[in-house]
Amino acid sequence: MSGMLPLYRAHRDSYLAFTRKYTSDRDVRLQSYNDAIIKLYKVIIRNKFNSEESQIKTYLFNLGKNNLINKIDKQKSYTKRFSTDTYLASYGDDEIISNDDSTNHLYWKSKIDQVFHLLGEKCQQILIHFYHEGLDADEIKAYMEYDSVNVVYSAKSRCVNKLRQLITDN
Amino acid sequence: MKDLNDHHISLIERHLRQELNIEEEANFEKLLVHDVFRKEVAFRKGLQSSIEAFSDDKLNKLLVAESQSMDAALQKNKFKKYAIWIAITLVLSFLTYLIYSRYQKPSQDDIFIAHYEPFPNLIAPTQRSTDTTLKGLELALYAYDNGLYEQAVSVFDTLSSPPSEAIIYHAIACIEIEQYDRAEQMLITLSTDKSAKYRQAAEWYLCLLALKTGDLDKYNSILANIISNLNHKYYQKAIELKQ
Repeated sequence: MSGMLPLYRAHRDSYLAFTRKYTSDRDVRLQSYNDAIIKLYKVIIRNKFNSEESQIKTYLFNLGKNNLINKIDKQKSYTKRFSTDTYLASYGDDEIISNDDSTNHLYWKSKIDQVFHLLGEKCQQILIHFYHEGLDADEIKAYMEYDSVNVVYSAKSRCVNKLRQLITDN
Repeated sequence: MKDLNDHHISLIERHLRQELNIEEEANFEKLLVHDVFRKEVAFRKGLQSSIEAFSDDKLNKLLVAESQSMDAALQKNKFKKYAIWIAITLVLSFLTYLIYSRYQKPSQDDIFIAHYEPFPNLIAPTQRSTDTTLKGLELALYAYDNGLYEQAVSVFDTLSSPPSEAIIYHAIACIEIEQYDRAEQMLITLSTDKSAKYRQAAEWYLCLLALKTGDLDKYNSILANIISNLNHKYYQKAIELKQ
């Protein structure tokens, strides 16, 4: 990610100026820019960005702008909901995660959210590389300097088991 | 199905990475009927979502810190810029003041103050006198010497026949208390009296008085008159005044 920082620095102020017409709230604009950089980062590491270097800025600004417009729309509808009596009536329509539905991924997500930070740094890294950045075992081997692909597989398996243990213990 | 094997895990992971072909995807869908498989899919999907959120949060914190350091640097630069502009403004103001004061023509008042000084008491110096019983001309001159010009004018006014030499002091005392018209009258009287002892002094003070009252025609005329006479007692002062 640190490789993205020069890009972040290069375009932050012009993005903030560019999006001033949508909202005067600088924090909201800045957060939409951060989100756009994170999205761009994911796109780049998954090798899905094929455009020319010069188009990165346009792509980044479009990501940010769409994100910002969504944020503003959500904020408006949230305010509207809270300002009408229909809020309480419509409350039940929201998705409710069952506390014991282990076939729902949100159930596991909330459990893992609570314990993921308790994993060791190496375990966090290998799981992030695999599940978040979409790297394959060969790439992880090279990146984390493991001896072989098999070591990567067994390390990943060990980390998942450790995570299950942490969920059980907590 | 009781337990999952490596093939099942690999299938789930490749499903999450969207790497399955149509046949494998169909196989994956079939396996979903098994509770243990469905639970593992949910677990791995939850793991993926959680890691995504964790990773996004970590990246976001990094970007927020970067943004804050950029803002701090901008603020510092802004302060530096202001400081530089303030310094430039101060230097320019000082230079402007120097140039202005160097080339600015002094006002008439400034010239008057620079060249005017009360006529010295040449009749009877009284500055060291401690005698409180002084009367008449002596008292007037005593007050004059001590800068008590109002008192001096009052005493001069009571003198019935003062000597002609005393008129210059009376006039100067009047200038000091801003009775310019009276002073002018007395000085004109003296300056037109060819036998008056302090006639040239009277001309000099008339010249300064014209400057003080803003009568520049009169001032220039008297000044020219003094300068035209090399033997005039105030010739040198007049030259300096003209410069």
